[in-house]
Amino acid sequence: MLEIGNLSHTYANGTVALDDVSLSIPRGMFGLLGPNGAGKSTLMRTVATLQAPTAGSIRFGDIDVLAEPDRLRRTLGYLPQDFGVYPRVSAYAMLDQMAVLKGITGRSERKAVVETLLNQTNLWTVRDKSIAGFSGGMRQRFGIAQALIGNPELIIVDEPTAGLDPEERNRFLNLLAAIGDNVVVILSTHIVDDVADLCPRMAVLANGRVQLEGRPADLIASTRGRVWSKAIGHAELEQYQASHEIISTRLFAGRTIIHVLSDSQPAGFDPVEGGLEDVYFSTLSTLRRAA
Amino acid sequence: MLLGIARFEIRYQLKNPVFWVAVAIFFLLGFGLTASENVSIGTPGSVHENAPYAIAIATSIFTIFYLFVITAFVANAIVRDETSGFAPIIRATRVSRYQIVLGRFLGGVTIAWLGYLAIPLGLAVGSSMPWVDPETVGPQRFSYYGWNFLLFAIPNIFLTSAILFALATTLRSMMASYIGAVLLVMGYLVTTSVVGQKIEYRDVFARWEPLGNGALAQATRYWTQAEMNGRLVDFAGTIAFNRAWAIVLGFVFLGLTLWRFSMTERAPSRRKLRKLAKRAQREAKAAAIAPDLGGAAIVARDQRPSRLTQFMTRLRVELRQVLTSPGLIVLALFAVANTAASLWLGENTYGTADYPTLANTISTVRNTFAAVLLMIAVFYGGELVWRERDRKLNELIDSTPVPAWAMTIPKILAIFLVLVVVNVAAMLTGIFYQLVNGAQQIGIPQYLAWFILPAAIDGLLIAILAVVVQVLSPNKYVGWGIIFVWFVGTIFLANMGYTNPLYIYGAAPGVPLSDFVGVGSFWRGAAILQFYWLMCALILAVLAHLLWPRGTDLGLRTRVKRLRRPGNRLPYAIAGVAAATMAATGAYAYQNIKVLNRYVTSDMAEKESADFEKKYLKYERLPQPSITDVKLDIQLFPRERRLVTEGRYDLVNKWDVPIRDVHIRQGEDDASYTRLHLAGARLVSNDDRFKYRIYRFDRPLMPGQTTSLTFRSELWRRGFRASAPATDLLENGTFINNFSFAPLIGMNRQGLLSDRAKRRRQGLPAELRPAKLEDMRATRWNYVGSDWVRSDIRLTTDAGQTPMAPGNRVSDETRDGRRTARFVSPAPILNFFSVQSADYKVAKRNHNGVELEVLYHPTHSWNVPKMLRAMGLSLDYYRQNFGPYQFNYARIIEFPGYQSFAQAFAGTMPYSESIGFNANTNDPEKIDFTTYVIAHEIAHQYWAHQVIGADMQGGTLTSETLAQYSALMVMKHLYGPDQIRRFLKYELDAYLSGRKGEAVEELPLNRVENQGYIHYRKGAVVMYLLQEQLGEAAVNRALQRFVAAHRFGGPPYLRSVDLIAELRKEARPPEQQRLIDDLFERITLYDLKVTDAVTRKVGNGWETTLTIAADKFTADGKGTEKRTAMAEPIEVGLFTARPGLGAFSTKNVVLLERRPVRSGVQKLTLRSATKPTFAGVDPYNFRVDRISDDNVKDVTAPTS
Repeated sequence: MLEIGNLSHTYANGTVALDDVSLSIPRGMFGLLGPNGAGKSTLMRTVATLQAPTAGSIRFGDIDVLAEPDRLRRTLGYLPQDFGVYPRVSAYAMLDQMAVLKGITGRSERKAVVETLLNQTNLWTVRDKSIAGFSGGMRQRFGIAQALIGNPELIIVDEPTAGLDPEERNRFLNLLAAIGDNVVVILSTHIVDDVADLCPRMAVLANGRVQLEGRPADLIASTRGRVWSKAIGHAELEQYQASHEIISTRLFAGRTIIHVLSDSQPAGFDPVEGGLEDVYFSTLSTLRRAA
Repeated sequence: MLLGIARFEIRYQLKNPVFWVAVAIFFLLGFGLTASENVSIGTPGSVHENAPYAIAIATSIFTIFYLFVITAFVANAIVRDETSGFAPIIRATRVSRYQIVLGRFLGGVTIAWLGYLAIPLGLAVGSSMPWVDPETVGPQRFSYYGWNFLLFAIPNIFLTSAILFALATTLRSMMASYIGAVLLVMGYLVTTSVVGQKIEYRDVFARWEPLGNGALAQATRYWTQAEMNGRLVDFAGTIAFNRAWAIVLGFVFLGLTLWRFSMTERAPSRRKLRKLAKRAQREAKAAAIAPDLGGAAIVARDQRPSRLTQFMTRLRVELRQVLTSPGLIVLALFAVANTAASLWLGENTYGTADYPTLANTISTVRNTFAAVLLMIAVFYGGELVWRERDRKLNELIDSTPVPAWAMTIPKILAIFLVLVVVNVAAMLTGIFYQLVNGAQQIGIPQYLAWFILPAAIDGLLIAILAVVVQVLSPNKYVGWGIIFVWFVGTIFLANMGYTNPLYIYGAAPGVPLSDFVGVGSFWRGAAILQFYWLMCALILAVLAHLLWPRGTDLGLRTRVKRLRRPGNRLPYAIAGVAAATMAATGAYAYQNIKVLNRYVTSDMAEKESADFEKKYLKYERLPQPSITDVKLDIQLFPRERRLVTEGRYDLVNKWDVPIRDVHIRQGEDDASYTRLHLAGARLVSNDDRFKYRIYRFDRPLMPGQTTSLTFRSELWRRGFRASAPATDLLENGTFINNFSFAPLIGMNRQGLLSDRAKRRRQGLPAELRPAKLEDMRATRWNYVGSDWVRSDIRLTTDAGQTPMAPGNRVSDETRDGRRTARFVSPAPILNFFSVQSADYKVAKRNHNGVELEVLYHPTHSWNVPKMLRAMGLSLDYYRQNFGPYQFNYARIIEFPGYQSFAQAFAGTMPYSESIGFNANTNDPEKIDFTTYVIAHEIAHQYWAHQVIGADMQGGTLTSETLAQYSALMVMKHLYGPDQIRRFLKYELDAYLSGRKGEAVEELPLNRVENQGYIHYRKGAVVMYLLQEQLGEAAVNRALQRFVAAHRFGGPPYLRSVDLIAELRKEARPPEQQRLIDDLFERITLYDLKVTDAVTRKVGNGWETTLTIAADKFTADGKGTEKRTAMAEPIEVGLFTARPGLGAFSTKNVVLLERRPVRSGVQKLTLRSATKPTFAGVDPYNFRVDRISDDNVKDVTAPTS
């Protein structure tokens, strides 16, 4: 559905944000995972017609996005990573305005859309409050409400769960999950669990390149039997780093749990059922080593 | 710690772009002031661009406007922590609030001082530019800049920083601080213009006005040119007090800040809590309503018809944002205050208020704040264009399919609306003013047509410019900077004489207003140019649409690439049509400006005038025949603005040599002479560039021999000009003098360059001074440059108008829609007169055989009875004391108020709509300016129209000075001698400030070189003292003999010494002869002062002892003074009110007598029956005294 071909972008200051990115994204939820600064937002903004790439092509269905941005905009829902609002404007008024801008100009149609979305995102009771006073979760729900106006076929959601508390995050992911499988939803995030929870397909973007692409299950399967873990003391970490390929570390009850990647079981390590997180971190650690 | 915080603050602000933008702006201000010779603030022409006085004024004045910059530094230092969210971190450190406040303040004020160095730097660099005339630049001394910076900039900036610090602490918001700063500046300007102008508050104002402008004015009030160019302001007296006061005040505000500044967050007030509760209730109610579901299936169909709704929605959003922004109310209030200030405080020449004529009121309203409107547009331009990005909304909106124009145009319209609101607020203020002041006509349609509509178009033009510039600029501040540079650039261009509206965005020819014709036909030119610029603005708007900063990668280059998108065909088509229309309109305007009219830049005009002088001034003293008879048949076509004249001059050779060549000039280049025939002569040279023709007699014209000149001229005011239109020929209210339509014989100096700098630049001698008093050859010409002639003038105009020319009206008939009147003068008149024609109302009165007439616009009847009375009173006095009046009529004829003067031609006195006719002179505390001016003009029927001085030094003494004297006598008899101080004080102040601006040489009265401040101002004071000392009757006897001896005399024409000789005959004691020396042949200054006045009761009466300090000086032409011994009788008086102020009148005079006063300090004792409260020496200011206010002092009781 969304075909990104050989997309590259270099900023005026020389930063290479995208380096020959090609992706084919079908209908359904697509997770774009990557660390901060990987080029995710550049990719999202480029697809959302907010900036033109240095080279490459983007097609959505029969739309050549770079040549006819307005055609894409008609069927686009976009939730930017960070957005603000006008002062002294309520959620209802702002959503109503966005509906007009997206082309829903009939008054009664608009009323139905706006109120449905406010209800759907649980913002109905606070619809008359100024958005400027919303909490982070409410604000993100408003963001997704405006992205859903007019049933877009392409929805781009950039880092939506950053900074949300677990409950809010959960609520937000449920909203996303309800969008359905008939549209393309790109969820860009640096939180592995978001993708793991929602996306049948995903890619890992780092250093401006696609490092990995596929179904989370397949990717997880590829690491099966190669990830091992061990609980170590805090002081031992450096020593293990020298001798093993550590892909992640986390703390548990005051001990450091390390995951390493190895084809055979290293001494003293226990096998673990690899998760998406291990896939992601092993990709990044490979990159780090290469650098 | 303190210094650490201050250092951080300085480093932080040095990286702030606002600092550098401000430095650039203030540098440019200083630079422009000295680098451009036409820009100056409060410094007279002869003062050097870099004189310490000019530097002092600039340094102190600009601190007011620097307030806005300080807001950025100082308010930012206070508000920054809150807005950036850094406050909790700071609060958690061990820094105390004193350290924070003082450290930040120290840093802020230091950076403010540093930034303000841009002013002296700009002044210094500007005055060093190679194009600045070296004569206008003095030596560059560091002390001139440094001392004034120390004296004015340091304390002022300290004070204003402290005030803003306090303001920001209280308001805790950047925006509120800015609004506060605007209000402060406004308030300051309004108060100073109200209080600072009143003489009675001058001392108080000078002491307490915290920015030191009043103190500076006080300290330098009577400085001479030499002092202004070379003297530093002394740190003493009022200045020292005032500067100390500024610093003390600064500390008070700083203390206030320390007291108010709080490091903790504020709890909501009780009112706020109530509001919150109410809102919660409202929300609960709203939440209970169920949503209207069913929109889940609706698909966005963005189509062409949606555009209008999108546009309207955006427009609503923009309007709501603008209308609910607190700034708008402030701006509207600002407009109201500003307009009200200029309406109520704008005063006429003699400090009298005006009756609100419609044209004047609308002119004032409309001219008040063009620059302010620009500021508003520019401010909102930045705010609106950047709003989505500032609020981080841009990504949401930019990814919707809304076209760019639906974003840009609403922004333009929102700014436009703000401007219209501000203008309407100003209009309502004007209407209110008219209602309060008894307007005869309110004229709402005129307001709309003359002001609101054109101003709206102007507003649209600047709104578009403001938006486009912001669209193209990489950030708000650069955008603001660009517009500022553009604005300053247009001012510079205008100063350099480049004023063609075809290349200055938004410029249009001026549309002067008059009640006679309203906007006349002048509006057409303005409308065409506005249309031309609207087309340009349309192209700019298309550009704004195409280059709209949409998305997140906004380099200009990236955006320019978008111009090639295929969807842009319609915008390009619109731009193309606009460009074509603009070109066509421009071509039409060009034809009007350059083909039907002449357009010259001031540089070109200057050069032309210089070339003319170089080529022809040598003929100035060439013997030429004199005109003895003038016969004119003038056809005026008001609607066409066309004047056709057929005329004949009879000429005679009054010289004792034959005349071979006659030089004939035009006073008006645009007049075309289709016939110009001098009997017995042929044209030998016809210089079309300078319209200078030389005719040569076949046989030279012998002494006493006569000839004649017949001519036909046409003057047609067609189309429109680039700037100010010609206002002489009008649909109604034509006022034109004969130089414009009849030929001039011989060369004279009219219209030659007089400005020293310009003359030098053109390679001419710096000064073109009149002939010396001793140059008897010059008595062949009078200073008006016209002969005594008999006149016979037929003037034909449209039937609805009254034709007017000098002379007895011997016939007046209307035929075929045309009215013809013939005027024949019963006595010789000067061949310099005007003809007028308008739809007049006429007030008539026969007064002792003279027919008095006032012809006026029907709605301007306020002063007409007073004018008739003034004419009668004046004529009575003059006929009784000076001699017979030569006409049996006297007419005052109103003319449109494009110019503000009154003029005396033979028996007819054109008088401007905008001075006498609308002056409200009924306030007994103000000067009765209407009567005063009429008395002056009627007096000219003797002084100029019966006796006229030669074209040499002292030439104007016998006309202007004597007219002033005559008018003062009329006023004295009308209002009583005790009221006269008002007039004298006014004249005295005008003289003293006039001599301050003298660029060449101040001369005594007998050698006055047409210097207004001498022959009018000093003349009035001098003549009044003369009649006080010699007696009114004696002076009048001398004048009567003088008129009789020189009536209609010349050539040779009389000299100033002829008058002085007559006056000397009346001066009996030698001290009166010495007085005449002092008054007419020297520049004499007194310094009289009551230092102490004590009264005590003695028996039935009061004994008052005055301590008087007296001094007398003579000055040379450059203002250098020499003390001279003084011993002469001077008036001393006791009063119960301060002379010349309030309702002072005869009943307040306890005693007034003349006592001998000598140089130095002395005591005088005066006895009176009642108790005095004021005592004075020369209390009515008969003498020229640089500090005239200390002549009178309040009387105190003895200290026991």
